[in-house]
This record gives sequence, C-alpha cells and structure tokens, in this order.
Amino acid sequence: MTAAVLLDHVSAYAAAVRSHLADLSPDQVDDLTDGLEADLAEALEDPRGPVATGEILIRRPVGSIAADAARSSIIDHNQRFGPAAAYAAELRSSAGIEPARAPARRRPLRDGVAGLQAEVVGRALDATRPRRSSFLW
Amino acid sequence: MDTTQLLKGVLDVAVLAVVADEDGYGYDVVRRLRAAGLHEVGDASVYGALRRLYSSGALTSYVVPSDEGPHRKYYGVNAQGRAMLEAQRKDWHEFASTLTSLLEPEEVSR
Repeated sequence: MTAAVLLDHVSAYAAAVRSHLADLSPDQVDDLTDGLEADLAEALEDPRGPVATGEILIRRPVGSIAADAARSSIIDHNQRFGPAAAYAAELRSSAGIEPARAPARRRPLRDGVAGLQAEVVGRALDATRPRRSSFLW
Repeated sequence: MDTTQLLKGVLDVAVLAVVADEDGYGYDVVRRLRAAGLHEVGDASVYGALRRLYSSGALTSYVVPSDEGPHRKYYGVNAQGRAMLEAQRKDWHEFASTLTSLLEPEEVSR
C-alpha cells in the first residue's frame, strides 16, 4: 500500500521529466528513464537523502516514515529533485545528449527568400558549432 | 573552489569504480558515491553517466523486477569498462600528482 502511494507521487514526477525529453525518440527516452520511478522512490525514502545541486530534502517529522510523508501533502518533488525540466536537462546533458532545441518556427511565406537564406545560414552555423557536451565532458 | 565543476570531470571514473566494486542500480550508485564523500553529486548526473557509459560499451545492464514496485535497472562493468577504469585511474594519478607538485612546489620532505 505505502509503496503504491509513494509510486503515485514519483510516477507523476517521472512523467513530467519524460515530457521534457519528448523531442528524443521513444527508445532514447526509455533508455534514459528506465528504472527512474524506482530510483526516485528510493531517493525519497532515503532518510540521509542529501541536499545536492539545488535539491532540498523533504521535510517530515522526526521518526516518521516515508509513507507518512507520502500520504501527506508535504512532498514537493520540485523541492527535492528540482524542477522536472532541470532534472531532464541534467539527465540529458550527463548522458551526452544535446540540449532540447526550441521547436522549429513556422515561417510565413512573406519572409520569402531572405528568411530561407537566414535559416540555411543558421543551420550551417549550428552544424559547425562544436558539440557542447564533448567540451564539458 | 567550485567542486561541482571538478566533479563533472571525474564522474565517469568515479561511477566506473563504484560499479566495478559491485553491480548497482541508479540510486544505489548515487548513495555509494555520496557515502564515499562525493556529497554534492546530483542524482540525474549519475543516472545520465550510467546511461552514457552503457551506450559506450563500458557497462552491461539488466533489469530486476520487483513484486512491490517498479523494476530496477542494474549496471555492471564488462572487460571494456575495466580497461577504461584502469586507463582513467592512471590518468587521474598523473593529473593529481602534477597538480599537487604545482600547488605545493616547496614541500619539504621529512
């Protein structure tokens, strides 16, 4: 029972993380997030869960168990794990996958040739830009 | 000193060392890294590093189902991973000794 309650909480957060990886192929998303629910649940249950990289340990009365915390409304995954978008970005970057790009902007026809040229130049610049992930890692 | 940035550069070898010691799943590896003293390591950074090391062929992976909850994804080191760990261990020792002599040039041996 208690595990199920905790799982509900972490499933919602895991779904939010996956939503920020939606530009990747389903296989890549699976590869990045397989087992995430189990890891999140265990992190929440860990009484020594440290505060790291912006994470804040969930507050709960001394002596209570994680399930009690899960039943109450004090679990804020954004507090413990940070915003799902940032979590997804960290996961992606440490896995060596390029950051998510903004969806391609639809160009009205009136932008005409000038717009097309700008886009081609922009893409060429993107293609020759050093890969940020290889620089950092 | 920004140890978070330092950690990024050595996360791979730290993760390899932990998994080489014993197979582990995501949060288990996080916990062992923190217990070893890397308190500032981020959960998602470790999970990403595990995935990347797996993709590069250094780790094996298998899923262990659970009756009580979601399955766990375990990682272990293969021969390529052990070779990578050994090479990075050497790199680390060379780098650390270089920097130590740079930072403590007048160290007096007793």
